[in-house]
Amino acid sequence: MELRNKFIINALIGFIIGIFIGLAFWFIGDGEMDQKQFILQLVMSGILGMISMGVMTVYDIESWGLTRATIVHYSTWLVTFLAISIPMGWYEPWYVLVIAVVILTIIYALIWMGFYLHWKKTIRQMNRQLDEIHRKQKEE
Amino acid sequence: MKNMVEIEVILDERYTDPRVTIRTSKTSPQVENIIYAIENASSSEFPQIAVTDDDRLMFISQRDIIRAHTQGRTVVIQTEDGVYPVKKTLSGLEEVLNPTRFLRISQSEIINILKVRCFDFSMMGTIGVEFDCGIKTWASRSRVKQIKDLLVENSISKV
Repeated sequence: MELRNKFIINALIGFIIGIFIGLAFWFIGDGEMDQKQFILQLVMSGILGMISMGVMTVYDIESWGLTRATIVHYSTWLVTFLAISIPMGWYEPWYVLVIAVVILTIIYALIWMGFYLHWKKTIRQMNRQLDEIHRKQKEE
Repeated sequence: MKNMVEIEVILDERYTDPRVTIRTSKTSPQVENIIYAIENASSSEFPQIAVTDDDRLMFISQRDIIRAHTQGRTVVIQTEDGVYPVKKTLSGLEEVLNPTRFLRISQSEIINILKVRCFDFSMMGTIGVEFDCGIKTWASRSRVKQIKDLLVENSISKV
C-alpha cells in the first residue's frame, strides 16, 4: 500500500531529524547529562520526530480535506509533544512550555493558512479558465 | 412502412474514406437525424461506450458522458439521462475515453471537463467540482496539476 510505505519513509526521516534536533539541544544546553540520559534524550527526540513526520502522511489521504488532515496532524503532534517533553523536563518551568506550545500552534496555523490561500488562488485560476472554455463553447 | 430506412453498403476500393449518400424524396427530421448520427459517428475518433440499461445493451456517445465513477464494486457512467453500469474498470475506461476531455480526478472518478460548471475550495479544505447539471463531487488535491493542464489545453486550442 502506497500510503503505508509513505508513512514508514516519513517516520524514518522524522526519527533521524528528531535525533539531530535532540543532539542540537544537548549541544546548546549546558546541563550535565550522563550517558543514559543522553541516549534517552536522543531516543525520545527521535520518537517525537518520527510521530510528527509520520502522521504528516495523512495529508496524502485523497478523501481527507486539507483542514481535516491539519487538525489530525496537529492534535497528534500536540499530544505526543506534551507526552514526551513534560516527563523529559525539556521545558521548565511550566510557562516556558506554554509559550512553546503557543508559538508552535501559531506557526502551524500560519502554515495551514498559507496552504489554504494557495489552494484558493489555484481554484480561482481554474475557474477563470473554465469560464474561458464556456465562452468558447457558446461561440460555436 | 413509413419510417423504414434501407441501408446499402457498397464495397468500392476507390473510396478510402467512406462516402455516404442519402437518397430521399424530401428532407425530414428523420433524414436530419441520420445525418447527425453519421456526423457524430464519423467525426469522433473515440468510440462510443457500451453500457447496460435494464439488460439492454446501449451505446453512449462520449460527448454525453458527464462522469464515470465507482459505485460499490461496479463502475457507472452518468449522463443527463441517467446512470448506467458499464462492464469496464475505471482504468479500462481511461484508455478509451478522449484524453483531452476526460480526466481521472480521484481513485474512484473520471470526469468530463467540458461538463464542469465550476470548482470551489471550502473551509474544510476539499476541492469541490460542480457540474452543469448540478451534481457535485470532489477532486483529489494530487490531481489538481493535471486538471490545470487539461484546462489550459482546452482553453487555448479549438474546442
